[in-house]
Amino acid sequence: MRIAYFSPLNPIRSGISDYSEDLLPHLADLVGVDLFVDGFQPSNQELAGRFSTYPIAEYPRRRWDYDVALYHMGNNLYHETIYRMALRFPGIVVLHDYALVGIIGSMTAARGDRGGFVREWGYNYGLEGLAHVRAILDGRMPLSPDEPLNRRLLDISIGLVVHSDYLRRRVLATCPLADVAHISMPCVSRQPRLLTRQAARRELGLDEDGLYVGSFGFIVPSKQVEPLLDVFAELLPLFPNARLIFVGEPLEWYDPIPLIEQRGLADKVTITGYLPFSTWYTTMAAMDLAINLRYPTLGETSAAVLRLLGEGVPTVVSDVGWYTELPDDCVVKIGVGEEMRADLRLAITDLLSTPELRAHLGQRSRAYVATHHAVQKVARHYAHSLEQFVQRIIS
Amino acid sequence: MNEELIAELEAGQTIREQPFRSNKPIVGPLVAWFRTVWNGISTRWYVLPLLQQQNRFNHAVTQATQALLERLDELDQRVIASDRDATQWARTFAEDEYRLRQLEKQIARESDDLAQRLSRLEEMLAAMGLERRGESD
Repeated sequence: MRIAYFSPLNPIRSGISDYSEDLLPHLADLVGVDLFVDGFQPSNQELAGRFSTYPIAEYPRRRWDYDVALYHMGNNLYHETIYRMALRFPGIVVLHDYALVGIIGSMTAARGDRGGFVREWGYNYGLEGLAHVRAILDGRMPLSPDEPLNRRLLDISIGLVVHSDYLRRRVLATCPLADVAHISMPCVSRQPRLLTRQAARRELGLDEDGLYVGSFGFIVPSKQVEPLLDVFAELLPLFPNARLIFVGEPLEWYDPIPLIEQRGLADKVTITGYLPFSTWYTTMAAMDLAINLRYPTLGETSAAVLRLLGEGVPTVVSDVGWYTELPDDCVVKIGVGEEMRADLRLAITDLLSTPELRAHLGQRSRAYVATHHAVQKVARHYAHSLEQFVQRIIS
Repeated sequence: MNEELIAELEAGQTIREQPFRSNKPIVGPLVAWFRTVWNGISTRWYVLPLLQQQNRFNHAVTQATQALLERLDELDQRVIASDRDATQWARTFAEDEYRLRQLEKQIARESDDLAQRLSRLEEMLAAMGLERRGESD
């Protein structure tokens, strides 16, 4: 089998670039793969040397060389030409985000094409959708960032890959006849060397006796930054040597620094900004605890959470979407309603005061990721599913 | 939005005669009565048909607007249905294309297979020809 593979890759800074770079070498052991990219050359030399890479615009005339096209779809403009190609030459779509309102809004209304935006709402929700979007465009209603707007892509694709049962159920609720495969997200450790917590802290210049709590990935309001800061501030008298580190960068429209300063936490909370993988892993190794909350969920599977679990970092997540599917003995889940702050307070208190509990969670989560998210296993599942998709079409 | 617009048009489409009023103390009712009587003599016969004509016009505009909005909804619905149909057709077309790709591959495989068999047959024939020549020699 030979597949045409469409995905952002490094140097495009996206979680999906990393995902594809983890998966591709193993997938290519099982099926033939050529890469189609938009306006860049892969910076990963191993990929560049091993795979034939073509500009995405060449796919229309090369498409007969492949058994199937595999499109990796996310909710940002890195996927614009992939989205257009997936509509023009339908194939298998890996749905990394359920909500596509971000990319569709950026491709239409944000460029002055109000009609294009209205058309998508009509396609998705009929006349009610038209009334709704006109109210949004006239400023009479807010635009929700978790609006799916994905029905056109779901309808046209000959197969869909999702990373959770949660997303599979949502897809089937919209398109009951869709052909959907649930494939686990691969998790590959990029830790170049094993580091003890103390060694990682020395390397990063952190206090070896401190209690470090990390929140990993892009800093956005849906990571529940304000409740986290509030609870952290409340618990400081109990754990005076605790420090909170946001490992990642805020999105350009969100500034968390005033929120930290308003709470008097400027000397207790740090934002690292974007980190290369080596430093990212060293920072993970230095943590006592990670708190990666997410509400509302856009239906995503969190690569950051999987990496944390894979490295055995005890982690607190929101009890929603894909996160709910994580085994109860691998993570601590907290509610997303009014109980969130109380749950979070309890979880942090228990975990910071009980090293044995942290060690137990870490061991369980490491074993879980090694078993269920091993990239070789995921690649086999991909190869099998692609074969099945094609067989179902041609039979 | 359409319902709100129609409700607003319907609420304001009929213009009604308003009774004369006066807020002046003591003489107010007298003033209002005088205006009513004077209006009856001088302008009512002229204004009332205009009022009725305007009302007929307003009513017609409201109905026409309502009909146009309903027609617009129908058109929107048709556009949406066509858009969804076009998507389904595009998918069907894509599925056919994938079938065609597989057929093309199958034909190529079988053609290779036939070519190999033909070549083997030709080799066998050539060998048999050589043997016959050997026998005759």
